[in-house]
Amino acid sequence: MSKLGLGKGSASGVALDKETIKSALALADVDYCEVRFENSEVLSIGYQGRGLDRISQDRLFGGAVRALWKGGWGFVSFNSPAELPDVVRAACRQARFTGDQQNGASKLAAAPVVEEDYRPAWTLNPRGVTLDEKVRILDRYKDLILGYDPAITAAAIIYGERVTDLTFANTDGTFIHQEKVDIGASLSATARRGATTVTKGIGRGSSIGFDCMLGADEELRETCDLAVRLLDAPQVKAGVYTVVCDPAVAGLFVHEAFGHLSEADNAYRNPDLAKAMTLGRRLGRDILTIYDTGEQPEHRGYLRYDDEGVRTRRTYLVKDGILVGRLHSRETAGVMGEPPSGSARALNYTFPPIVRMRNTSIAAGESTFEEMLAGVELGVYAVGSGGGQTNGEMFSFNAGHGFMIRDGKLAELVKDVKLMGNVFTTLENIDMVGRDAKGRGGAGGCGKGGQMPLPTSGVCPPIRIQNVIIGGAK
Amino acid sequence: MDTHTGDNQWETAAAIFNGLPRGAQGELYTRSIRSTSVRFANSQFEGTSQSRNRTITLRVILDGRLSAATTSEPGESAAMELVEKALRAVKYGTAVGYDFPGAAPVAQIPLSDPRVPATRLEEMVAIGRDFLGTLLAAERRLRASAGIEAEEVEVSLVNTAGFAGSYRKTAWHAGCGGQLIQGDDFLRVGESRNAAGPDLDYEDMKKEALRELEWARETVPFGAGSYPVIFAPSQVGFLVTPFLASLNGKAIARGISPWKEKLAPSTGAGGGAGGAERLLDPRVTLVDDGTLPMTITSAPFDREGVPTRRNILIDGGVPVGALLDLQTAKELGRSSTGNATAAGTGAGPHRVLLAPGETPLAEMVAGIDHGLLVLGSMGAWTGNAYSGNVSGTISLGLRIEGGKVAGRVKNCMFSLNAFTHFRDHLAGLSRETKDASAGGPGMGGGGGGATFPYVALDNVVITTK
Repeated sequence: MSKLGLGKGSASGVALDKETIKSALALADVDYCEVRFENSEVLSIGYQGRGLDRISQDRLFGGAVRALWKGGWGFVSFNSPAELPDVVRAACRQARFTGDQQNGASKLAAAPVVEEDYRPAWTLNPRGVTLDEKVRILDRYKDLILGYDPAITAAAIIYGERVTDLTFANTDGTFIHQEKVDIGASLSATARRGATTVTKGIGRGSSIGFDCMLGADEELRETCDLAVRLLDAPQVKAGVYTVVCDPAVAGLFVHEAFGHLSEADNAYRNPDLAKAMTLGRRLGRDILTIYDTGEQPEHRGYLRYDDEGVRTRRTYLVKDGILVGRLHSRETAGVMGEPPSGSARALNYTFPPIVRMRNTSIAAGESTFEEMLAGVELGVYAVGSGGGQTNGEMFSFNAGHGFMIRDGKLAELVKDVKLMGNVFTTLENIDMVGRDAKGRGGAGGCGKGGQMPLPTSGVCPPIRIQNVIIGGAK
Repeated sequence: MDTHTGDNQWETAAAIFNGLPRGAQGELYTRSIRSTSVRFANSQFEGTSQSRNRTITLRVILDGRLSAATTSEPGESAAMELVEKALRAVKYGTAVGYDFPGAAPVAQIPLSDPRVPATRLEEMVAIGRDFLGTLLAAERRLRASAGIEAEEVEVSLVNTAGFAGSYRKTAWHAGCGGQLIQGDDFLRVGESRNAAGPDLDYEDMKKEALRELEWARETVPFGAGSYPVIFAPSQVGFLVTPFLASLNGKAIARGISPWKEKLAPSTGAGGGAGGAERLLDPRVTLVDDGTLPMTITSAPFDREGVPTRRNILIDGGVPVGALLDLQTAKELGRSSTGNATAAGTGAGPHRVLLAPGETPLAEMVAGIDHGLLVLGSMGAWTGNAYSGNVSGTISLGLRIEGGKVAGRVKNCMFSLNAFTHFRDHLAGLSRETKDASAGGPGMGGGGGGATFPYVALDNVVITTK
């Protein structure tokens, strides 16, 4: 009898083995039922100002049961493994309560029954790096930031590491045990002169190795230099510009402006939105191809199986400018008659899985950076990734800073570059896609339905967009 | 409440503290949450959720350094593992100059409504169905949504200096709204509120959501320029975030706050030669209050065991207070204001109150010849709070023409500077107030709740095509 999920990491040594889980699932008197149990070791190290600000080692330990009956869901989360049979009964009661009122049909897309015990192929297992070594590396980065220039008054470093034993089983017969890792870090410098304060940073992240945290010195020096130079930079002037987005901004754009709209839980019971997002609709020019994938383990959105036990795959959303796919859970796929994409994700055991992005990317194109600048009389080269938001139709995201483009050449540095636009017209207005794609890292993650921060990432080249609104000074 | 198999937090604390080495200070924080919710989406009842979660956090101070460890695993061995983890990390820990606070009386603030745990699922579903029925009767094309959540929270905190306190509170959250999609035109409306008990004005919530729908039915053009703009209470948190960030003890102590040299000596910032300086319009008075009864953001003591208080931050345009926890208070030579956050990572507000004005919203609208009323925005939480620059895409904005709402504007972005606009361009504060959130994540606001009036500002830059 293999003990899964609560193995070596559990302080109590309480075992929630395969037979116990199967016995509990046998109590389910509904259309479908699943059990998820998580045992995560979380390390958080934070620096703020001139020293270490926070260090904690936490354990996230608990499970969730989700049940489906006549199209209605019941969900119960819990801490103690001993409660599992009672929790299965409670989730089924709730599903029956909901489903009996709906009196609909449970529509889950078929998914292969899987039995697997999966561990990632480490590049550098974070469990093999001592706390002493991790603190020493971060300390050195902190000293590098603070020693760079007298104008730099504070360093901020956020390092988060989560190593998870995750067990999933359902009434279809799937039983998966996965070891998962998420490393995300942001390292930033704050420069101040008088009442002017500027913060700039870099991000790192990986799903397979601590080595993502190594070798950041040069990039950090460039960031410190930028923070100091931005003290004297003017705020960008508000207006409508041709914008060249660097890979970080392009990644944020494709996530905010299009990725969320591709999440099928928005459209699966909304005929008006489904119509607006009809597969086959042209959304952009032939140069535009967008995909979302659980592949790419060197990035934070890596996922072998989603939280419904579905193997993830590369999902093309836009191919050659045409809408060709969307992101699905088993339910949204079942209702819309499309294949599941392995996109059902839960932040942790206290939440049910909902449709989320993983690594959302724009396929590299053929334009060089110089070609993208050429012919732009007045524009903005937007750089960096500072968060964004969408409501489906419109988006807003913060590049942080940029350079004016004047007569086809990069000109002066500007700060507070925030872009907005209409999703549909902006996709049409992407007229060039660059050659050199890059991934993005960083602490934090995506938020949806109260589940934040979920690790996501992407690999994007620079892109050029016509007619983008940029807010700022008059 | 969920108490787990025979656990007693005081006995657990004693066992844990016995495991600490001589000279170490310990603090054990326990938080149990039990919640039940129902949700409606796409105009139908979708499901229910129930959550039972308990976490315990041990913080240790040893040789002037602080570390922490948290677990949600039940049982004695998991609790004892906290000692091992906290001690393993403490040599790298935060250098602190304070001790955990000693024994103190815990204020009795009414925070719990016994009807919340007694509420049956059927009653919650009935409220949701009523929301959907009213909204769909007004607009059948709306994809209506609603959610009701009942929550019980139990908190206890005990430390080796002698403090021991606990409290229980309840929360009731309700929301209703919907999405109307016509071609590529998306409109979202909605209203959400919370309280310690279920006595929310559901009729008024429906009325507000429907008013937004009516106001936004017609899309009207709007040109770029500088205009008078009224911001709804839900948007005011973004506008005051630069103030909260600048008055956060950590920003003051680290030298990041742009107000560092201008603050009153009472904030601990040192102040200029002249002491307190008026930096904003005299009508701006901003208060943080963690003591309001039957309010979900209140608590008798903060995350470190310091009593919460009514804390005046800005008085008549003069910054006079700051948000401090034990560490920042020590660094600034002050006392903690009871603002240590639940996350244990610094200071943040409980409930931020911006003093209202005398003018009804209707009169504020009537007084504008050509301007905007902003009910919703996106991305206003991003950016550098310390610069004061606030900008966002207007997701739900209404054109005001000749003193009346004339329809919805689209593809517009607002930009302003909170420091200069609240000093030179404050046109008015409404008599009405509404509950909102205190500010955006990552902007130094630190979360928390808020009660804000509508705020009218002149000379707000609107960018559009």
